[in-house]
Amino acid sequence: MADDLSKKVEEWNARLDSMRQNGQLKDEAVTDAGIPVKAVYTPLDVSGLDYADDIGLPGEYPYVRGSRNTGYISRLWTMRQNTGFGGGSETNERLKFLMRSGETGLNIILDAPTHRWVDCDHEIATGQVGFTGVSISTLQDMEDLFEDIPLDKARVTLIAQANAPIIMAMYVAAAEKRGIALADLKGDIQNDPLREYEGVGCGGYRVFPMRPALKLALDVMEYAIRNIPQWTPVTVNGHAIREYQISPDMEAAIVLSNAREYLKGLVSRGLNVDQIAPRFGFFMATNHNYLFQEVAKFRACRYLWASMMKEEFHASDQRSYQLRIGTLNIGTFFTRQHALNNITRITLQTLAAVLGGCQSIATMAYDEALALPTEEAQYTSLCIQNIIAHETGITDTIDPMGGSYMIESITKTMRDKIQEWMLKIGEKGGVAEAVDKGFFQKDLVGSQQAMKRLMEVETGERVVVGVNKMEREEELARPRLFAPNPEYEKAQKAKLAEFKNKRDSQRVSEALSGLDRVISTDANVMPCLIEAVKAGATVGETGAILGKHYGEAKRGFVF
Amino acid sequence: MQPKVLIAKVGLDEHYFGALLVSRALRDAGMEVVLIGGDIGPKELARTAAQEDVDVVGISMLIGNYMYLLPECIKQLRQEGKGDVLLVCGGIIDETDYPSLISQGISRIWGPGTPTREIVAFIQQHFAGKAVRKASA
Repeated sequence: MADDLSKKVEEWNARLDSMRQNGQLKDEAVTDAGIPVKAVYTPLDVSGLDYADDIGLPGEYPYVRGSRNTGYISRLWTMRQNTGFGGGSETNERLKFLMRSGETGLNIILDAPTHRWVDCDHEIATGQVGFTGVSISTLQDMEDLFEDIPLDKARVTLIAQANAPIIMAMYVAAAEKRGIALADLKGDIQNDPLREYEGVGCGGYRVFPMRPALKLALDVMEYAIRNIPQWTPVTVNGHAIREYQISPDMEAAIVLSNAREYLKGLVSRGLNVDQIAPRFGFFMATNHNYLFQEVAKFRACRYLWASMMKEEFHASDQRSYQLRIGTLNIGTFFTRQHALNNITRITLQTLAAVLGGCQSIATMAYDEALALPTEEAQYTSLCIQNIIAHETGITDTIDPMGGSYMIESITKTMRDKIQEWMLKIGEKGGVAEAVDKGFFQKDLVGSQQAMKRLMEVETGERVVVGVNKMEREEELARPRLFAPNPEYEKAQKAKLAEFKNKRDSQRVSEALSGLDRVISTDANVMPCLIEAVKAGATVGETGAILGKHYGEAKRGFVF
Repeated sequence: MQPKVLIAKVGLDEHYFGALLVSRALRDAGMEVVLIGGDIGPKELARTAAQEDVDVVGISMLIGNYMYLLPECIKQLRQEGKGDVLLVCGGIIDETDYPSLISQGISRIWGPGTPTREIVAFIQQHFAGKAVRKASA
């Protein structure tokens, strides 16, 4: 039977090949990961796979079909919208609107000065306070942000990278002030600095050089593992790097390699893999360009994580194997032209994430290329998630695309490609060493891939509807734009001044001296940072102490 | 004449994707390009423009109150004696604010999705027929 099929498929393909030779049919497509997209997939394409070893059942090794055995049937993915502008109170209002609109997780976006670990009144913060995220300089700001929001019930994602230690410290202090037990806090902090050094600024923020940043990140992870049992203290980030147009296999390889680096760092601090691995999450892009490849990427990631847990780290607890993946749309594929088209793109990208079995989906809003999102645009994105969840029937079956000759074939190819990249990174000695050698910056996240794609769009070889196909001289519909209030800066500065007036300066000074002393040792900085926050130290004051010890990150542009 | 260009991402954020691609496109078209960002405010921008003695300043503005920051950049450039550079801008700027910004001294503003050949052409046309680079003021 197999020979029979083999012969038939050969003949079928030969027919198409001759049409291609005569110019009657376009060449077979190839994805950005270099995977050929066949005209047809058959049982022959999966004949080398073993169901038990390569695919399995949901919630069972190797977890390709899903991390949990009841999938979305028992629990939908967490639905999130990135949110942040003005001061704590302004963002608080929008958070409440989103919670009423069906959001089940809160994603907090910080403004640039906060990310850079400076206060809103710092000279370099001028003109940027509260404009692209919420301004947090004091514990009061953090409390304002979460006013009337139950921190023991809400699933909060703090999108903090280089400044994760201070943001985590403020969150803990705010919770303790309300009498909430750390054991009840559920949520995550991104806290992934490594990828920030792997590219030319990947939308994160560099504050200190790489090795101090790594130490601080491990401090946050260790502190949370030991003290905040339900908290995810790292979501290894592939999304930001992916926005530079690298292919999904590269994205996955970087995420898995960075995750391994953090795992090893925590093991060397005396933690057991089963204490660590269940606390990790991944944060990846989701894309609609080669939609099925994206689905395959998520499935391949689960396989490779499970394999790493088994072969390399010898994890015993099943929860170490059950990888949790959060996603966000790839915004560089959105257009300013006819922004309503982005609703379609968000839908298709969300579909890819759902078919890929992701645990958390943050959707951008359709006005992403124009401004911060309006309430209407964010509400529309939440509707997209709910329509997929409740109107399609997709969530009644786990891994519905599983078994498709195409999906299984591409999943296997994706697995192989990701492993190839991971080996290349490993050959450099590991992630940090690879960064030092400029491996990522030049070979992966330099401008080559991005330039290639840009030129494909500009020549029309790659279609982007509204930009090089169906483009219009004049916009048919111009969405109403959200405009942050230029008065935020003045208001925040006034709040900061008032906060400083009311606090006990002596207590702050002592706490900062304590921080200064702790940093000169190798001790975990978190307990001291939390004490400093409780004493009334500001974001900028703690940043300055750390900066004194660690120095500033350097920036170099390779293009 | 091929002008020397400073591409500056003004602001504390680290989103260089657009600035990077424009820098590449300009360099591929034969211009000398200096790219800065991450720590750049209006003062640093103006100082670098003077130090590098550029003919063109391209600002990538993705963050912040551009109605304050861009005029501030113009002011600082003038103070550093670079008020005569060709000043262009890209990023996330509401189109309804273009006229005000242009009246204050920005020659051209481009939004996301603008073909790089348009940017290259605009700059090249501006300097066409100019034989030598002007010495700094």
